[in-house]
Amino acid sequence: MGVKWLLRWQPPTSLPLTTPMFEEILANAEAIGAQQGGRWQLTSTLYRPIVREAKGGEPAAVRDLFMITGTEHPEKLWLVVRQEKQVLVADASLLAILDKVQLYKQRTAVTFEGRVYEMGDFRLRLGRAVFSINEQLRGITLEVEYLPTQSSAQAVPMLTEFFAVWDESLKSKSLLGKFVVVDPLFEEFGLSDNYSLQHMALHYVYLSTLFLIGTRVS
Amino acid sequence: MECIVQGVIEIKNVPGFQTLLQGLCGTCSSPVRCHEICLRSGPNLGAVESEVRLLCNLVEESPRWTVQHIGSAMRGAAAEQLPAAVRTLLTSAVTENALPVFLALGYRVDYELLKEGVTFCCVRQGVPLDVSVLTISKLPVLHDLSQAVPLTPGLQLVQVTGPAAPGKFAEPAAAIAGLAEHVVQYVRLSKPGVLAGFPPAQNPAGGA
Repeated sequence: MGVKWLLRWQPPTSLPLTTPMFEEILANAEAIGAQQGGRWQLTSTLYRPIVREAKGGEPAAVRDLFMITGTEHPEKLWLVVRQEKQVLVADASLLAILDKVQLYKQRTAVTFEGRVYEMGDFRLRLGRAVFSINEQLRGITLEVEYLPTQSSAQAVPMLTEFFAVWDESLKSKSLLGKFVVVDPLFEEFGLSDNYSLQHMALHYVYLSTLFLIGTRVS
Repeated sequence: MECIVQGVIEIKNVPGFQTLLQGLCGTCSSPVRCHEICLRSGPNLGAVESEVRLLCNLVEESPRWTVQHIGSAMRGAAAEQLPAAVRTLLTSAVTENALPVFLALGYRVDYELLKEGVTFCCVRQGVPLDVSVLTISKLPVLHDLSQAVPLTPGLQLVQVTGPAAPGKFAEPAAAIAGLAEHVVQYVRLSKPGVLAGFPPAQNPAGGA
């Protein structure tokens, strides 16, 4: 894999997110010459501990556990424990174990779904973020992957250049708003400069947290 | 799912037993060195009390971690008739930070073991069986493998497992029973938790 940047679309405060807005952003990918590929999906699921008896007091466990699953790597899943700064990569079969032990239960989930585009050394994933409960559109996301390297330091100039082209093309459209980079503190989780699947999982956990708490990033 | 039987063998009889296994299984054997950490769910956490095992395969240069959940053995009249226990076995390969993650989720270290020995893969009646001959050691000091102490000095555990699936456990159980007959001069194999003792000629106490 390469190095990914993850961005979220931020319209002006007064403007709600709409599907036509997403379609116009998809059109921008084709406008810059990207070739449309297949569909993709990624789900970020929030779990909370199951407490057996309220009178027994709170068990010693983390409050929030995020699980990431997706079509890009269907054979894997990721567990992210933000409070303990841990990202675990596991075979997808871990889900059956977690279901069996019934330690945590699913509270809510954010699903990112959309289209993949290819453009030379870059791969784009444009997605709609929806809640599992009501399928309400909560966000529009852009993932840009620079494929030739895993080194973030090496990839940043290329990604910056690509994004300038993307942004220039987008400005020519009638859309009001901008894409904002999601930038988790990877070093806090002990992750190096080399972009990995753990980085990817953290990216989407941070993004889904923003959608879950409804915070706007400036 | 898996079918499983276990038995105990005296270390002095292990070379003869392994020669017999090589004859039965061919030369397909591999070393075992596995750090097993048994984790139990903390008080008041989870719909039910639960247990998972973290296994660290130390044979290869870079250790490989696996999470394992073993279900309780199948019960009922049909299960009683089978020569092997049938139980659910779920495994998942995980990254090396599995222990801090599972501790953060609310599990606690119950005990730790070091399992060392050799395993043979043996196809009987078309069923691939794993036959392991292991020394089981406890770790008196947390995570310190250098201070491992054998639980049963002079004895090793023999474990035979075969893959099973819902409704498809008679064949592996029969294959295990067939193997058990071939090795009965060295070890008496039985369902886990059912003590079968030693073969009469090799009973360390001198009796049957």
